[in-house]
Amino acid sequence: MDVTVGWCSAFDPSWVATRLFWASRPPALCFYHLGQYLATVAVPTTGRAILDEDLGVGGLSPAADAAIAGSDLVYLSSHGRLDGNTYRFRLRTGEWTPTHAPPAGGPAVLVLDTCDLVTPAVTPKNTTWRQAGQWSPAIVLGFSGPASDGFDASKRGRMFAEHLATGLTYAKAWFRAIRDTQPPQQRDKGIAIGFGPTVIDARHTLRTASLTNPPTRTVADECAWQRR
Amino acid sequence: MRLEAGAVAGWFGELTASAPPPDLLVVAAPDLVDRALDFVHEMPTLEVRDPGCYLFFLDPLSSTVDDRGDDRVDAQTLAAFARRITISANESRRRIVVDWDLDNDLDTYDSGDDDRDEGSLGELQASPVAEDSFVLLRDGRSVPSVGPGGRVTLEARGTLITGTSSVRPFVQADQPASWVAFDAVLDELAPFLGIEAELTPRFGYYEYPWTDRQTVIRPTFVLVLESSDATQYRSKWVLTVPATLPTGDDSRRR
Repeated sequence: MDVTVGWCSAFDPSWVATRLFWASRPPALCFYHLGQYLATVAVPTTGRAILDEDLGVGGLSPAADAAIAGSDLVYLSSHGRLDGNTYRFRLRTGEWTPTHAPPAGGPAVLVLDTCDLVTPAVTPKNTTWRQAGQWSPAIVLGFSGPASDGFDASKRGRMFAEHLATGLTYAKAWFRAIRDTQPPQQRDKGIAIGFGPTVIDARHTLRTASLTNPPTRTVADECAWQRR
Repeated sequence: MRLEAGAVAGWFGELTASAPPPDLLVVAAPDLVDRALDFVHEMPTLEVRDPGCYLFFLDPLSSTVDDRGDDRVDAQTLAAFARRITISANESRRRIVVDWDLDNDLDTYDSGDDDRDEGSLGELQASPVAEDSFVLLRDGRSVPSVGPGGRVTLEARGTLITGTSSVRPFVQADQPASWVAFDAVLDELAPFLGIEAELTPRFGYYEYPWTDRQTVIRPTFVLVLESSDATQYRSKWVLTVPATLPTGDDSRRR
């Protein structure tokens, strides 16, 4: 299994995007604990980290592009926003739009640990996450609304790996990771979006994809989602 | 609203003037959920965890809570287990809010039997309003649990119930303490002063998630900041500040 994690924690100019103190922790903890689990079950694993330097000036560096394109699971953390109906991931300078001309090769599971993968008022099928004929991860995980930056909240990366290791689906592991790292009163709302050529396929992916039932990269013709 | 120190000063002053600080809680055996539910099965792990902290599963059909013979766990069964855990917790100077949900759609959806064109997998059946869990102190005070721990979560998984517990058993420390000075709160807030943000302060015992080791459960201020400036990226920060100092430590005394 090829895993890439990355984070962007400081931004230029700083008044546009405030510093994220704990951005490195969710992806790093996910990789560390997922790697430990995969080692115990003897699954060959490669890991790459892309940091602020590669999430750079107005776009991903070629190294970051290559790392993402060559991975099964990508977990990235930074600021994010929904610009109209298009999600944008904040880089050190500028933004990256993961739905803009995605390549055929790339991750089957993409975790975007940022605010506003979609907003609570917006349905994913009305955003550019769904684009007929575009390549897409089978599952995208993130937040519907704000994502907390805090020491304990950042442990969601570890929890995600822990719950995946117990056999939960990617969607359920993500929801449980958020639930286990925040008290109910201030809990962020997670979202899981499944993709496929039909809604039935997208739902099936969302319902069944797990470490033991790995999804494959697909098309974004249709999507199914759940928020929790 | 531009964040200023005054946003939290009044709240801090009122809270710390109204009562002496609650005691530290020292984590100790035995384990609440084990004691409450003798049919709980802890999932094996190579790591050493705190008492009361683990992933578990239980088989409703082997218990006396629900013997209706229905294969799949339903909301009624989950609620029954939640009540049972809550009642046991009351005997251990805890009021535990058990957080459960039943993912009917995601669990039972069978492709082909549903022609909805809407992609949403629907609403969950879930435990009622997410309330605070509380620790009941010897002097009769109830102090809320404000961290990610101090709770039990349940979730139906086919015919089983799985869940996590982060309910550490404790003894109340017999060690006088005093409130920290407001400066300690200000230090934590300093990087955020002047930004446009809403502040929600909370106070209570702060327990860690079930994966973490913790020997002492401390009274803690939790400050949740959510940016409100539409020109910036949305942000939400969770800051924690230990609320008390042991007597004798005058460095940050109020």
